[in-house]
Amino acid sequence: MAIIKMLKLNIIVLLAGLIVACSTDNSCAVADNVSLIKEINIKNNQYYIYSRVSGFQEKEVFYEMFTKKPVFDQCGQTKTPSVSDVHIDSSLGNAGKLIVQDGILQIIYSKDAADKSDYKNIKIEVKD
Amino acid sequence: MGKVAVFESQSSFNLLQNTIDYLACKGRLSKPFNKDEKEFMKELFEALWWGGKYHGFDEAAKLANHYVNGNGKKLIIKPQVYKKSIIVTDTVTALKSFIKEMHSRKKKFERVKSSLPTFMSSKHSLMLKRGKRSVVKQGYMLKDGALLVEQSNARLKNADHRFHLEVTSTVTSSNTFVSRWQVNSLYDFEPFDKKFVTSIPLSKNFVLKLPDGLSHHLTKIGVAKDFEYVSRWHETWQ
Repeated sequence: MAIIKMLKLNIIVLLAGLIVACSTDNSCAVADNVSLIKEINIKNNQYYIYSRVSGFQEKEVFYEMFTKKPVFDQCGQTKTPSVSDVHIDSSLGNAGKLIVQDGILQIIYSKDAADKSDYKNIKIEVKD
Repeated sequence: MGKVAVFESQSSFNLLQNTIDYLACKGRLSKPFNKDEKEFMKELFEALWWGGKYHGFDEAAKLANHYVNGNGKKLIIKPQVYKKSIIVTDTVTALKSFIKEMHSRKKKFERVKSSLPTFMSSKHSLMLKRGKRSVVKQGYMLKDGALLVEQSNARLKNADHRFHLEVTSTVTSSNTFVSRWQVNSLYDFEPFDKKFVTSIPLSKNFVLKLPDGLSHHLTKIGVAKDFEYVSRWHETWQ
């Protein structure tokens, strides 16, 4: 019983935290999850490829590419502009491969279930 | 402020996060949840209702609460959140233009969905496709006709991230159209294998990680139920 009381207290505290979050430097109730998935060097230019997952119950996944390493705030936002971004449109199939060509990201879709991979472990191919 | 002082203790946050991690682990292994654990998860979603409401995310808050208290019943949400969206207003404009053309050519226009092939292949939908549209500021129409919400619109994307817009119309003798716009969606979470996690920033330096798989698992143990939600609005236009 003591544990559940403690947990209930923490739920109340969670609520307080959610409310307080509004008045501090973060202004989102739900943050985007941003992860660096690959650093690549193409013709002496450094690129940083990130995955971004946004939404609450219905998540959407994006890839973003930067030429400077961005700094993200607690909400997953950055002031560094991306040079390219692409969204995984799940209605087209599984995201089988991420292509980097001429500084632009592109996804190759596959209907084959064997090509289904974790969005963070997507195959990345650089094309000249 | 007293509560803030309490919250900003690492141990308090750790207890909360560790409990979620522990329950996620049990969920992954399909181990039964006891009464207190179920109650904890229900209260967590109810807390999200309060937090979301405070942030002005009324619809997301209402939906989260309905997930654990709605018993799977269909929910109607107010349309303002859709009506203020850039991608929705642009799609409404495109669909009206399409409907007018269909009507003038004496073709069917009474019921049109954003995924209708004749609409998607028409000139009217061109402005909605990715092209030069900014996914952050404008959103765009996906290949299946679903609308991907502009990412700057946190209120809508946390309530409904991608959806089809449907319109049912009649026309009066004075060529005035009476339309009912509608969005139907399903509220559910992805299972553990998708590896999605919802990050909830609390006060500074504390971000609660709630696995979507755990939220999904609540439907397996009788704490929550998936449900349909719908939003409608009417418009008279020429």
